[in-house]
Amino acid sequence: MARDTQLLKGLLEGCILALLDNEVTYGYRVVELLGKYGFREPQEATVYPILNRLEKKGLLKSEKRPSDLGPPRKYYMLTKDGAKELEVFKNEWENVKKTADRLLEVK
Amino acid sequence: MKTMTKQSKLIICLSLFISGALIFSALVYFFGISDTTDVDVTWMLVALIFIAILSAVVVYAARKKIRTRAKLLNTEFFIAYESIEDSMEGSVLSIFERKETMKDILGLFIDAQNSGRTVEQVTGGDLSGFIIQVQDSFGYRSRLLFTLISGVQYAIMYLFMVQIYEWVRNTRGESFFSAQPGYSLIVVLLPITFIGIPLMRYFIRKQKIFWAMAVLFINLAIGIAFMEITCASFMHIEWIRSIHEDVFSYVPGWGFLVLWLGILAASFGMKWFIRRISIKKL
Repeated sequence: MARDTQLLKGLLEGCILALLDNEVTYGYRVVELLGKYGFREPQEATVYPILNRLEKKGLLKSEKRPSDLGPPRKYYMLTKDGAKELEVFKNEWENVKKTADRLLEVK
Repeated sequence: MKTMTKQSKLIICLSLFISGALIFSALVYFFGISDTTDVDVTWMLVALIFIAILSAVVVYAARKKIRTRAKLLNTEFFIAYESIEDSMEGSVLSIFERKETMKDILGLFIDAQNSGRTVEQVTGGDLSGFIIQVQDSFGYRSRLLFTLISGVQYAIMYLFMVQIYEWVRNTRGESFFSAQPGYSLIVVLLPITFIGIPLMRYFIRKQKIFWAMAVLFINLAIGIAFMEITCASFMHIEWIRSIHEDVFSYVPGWGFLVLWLGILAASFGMKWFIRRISIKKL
């Protein structure tokens, strides 16, 4: 687990953008979805600061919606800049993946 | 409903202690002077006792308010939530940002609790790390600059308070600008605004409430000790005598009033500007 932590952290921003491109949702649901997609033990402590940073950067926007379980929830969605950033991430990730695959095949 | 947490008890006890100490010193002063029928002194004594009691009540009410706000959390999550809220007081976030962040965290905690997760699973067992990460996600790196600007703000507000105090105490009926508090109160209390409060905020941010309160006491004690020692042994030195005896007005006229208020407004504007720049650099 410790070995891939740094790598995962770097990817998390892009993956969260991708999740929110598919679904407008709230913080805890993002954590759940990351878990479902295979991220091991995703934590609110990691995800919330990223959501906050992405919102401050203008890549996400949010709105409050009522919740049956407590106070209104903050739902996050992608902005136009967020969508552009996601495209950049996808391209970069594709390049990194190809490079890594080539290296691993050579080995 | 959960009982009061250890942290709340500590904060309430410290506030009661400070209020008690203030009332005790006011009473000692009152009964120590020769003329206890002086209306002005009696009035000040009543005002001091009222402020001391009011401060303790405000602290208690603030702790109760946190409990009410987070009433849906179980004890484990509430303790963590309360620690985060206290720690936020030491951050450089604006009041609005702090409130919004606490609402977000409350929502996250409620969802996590309802899903059967523990605080450790939510924070990765590192609550302090979580708090720092949340604050850092705003990107405000100019902590020292924020501290200095806050120091200026506290200093100006403090000067106004002292001027008002002196006006009410000695020169009521005359112009507000004619009140002359002098140097002594600056020497005792101004270091608190530039050293004491930043240090207190540092300890609050690090969740060390006891040390935050200790800083206040140590700061006051050093100031009072300086005044007492210099008064007893160093009055032959001119600048020390000047500190003890010279008086002057902090706000001698309309021009100064506008100047102080202008600096205060500019300092708020500067904080806003630094926050805007920091977000762009994120």
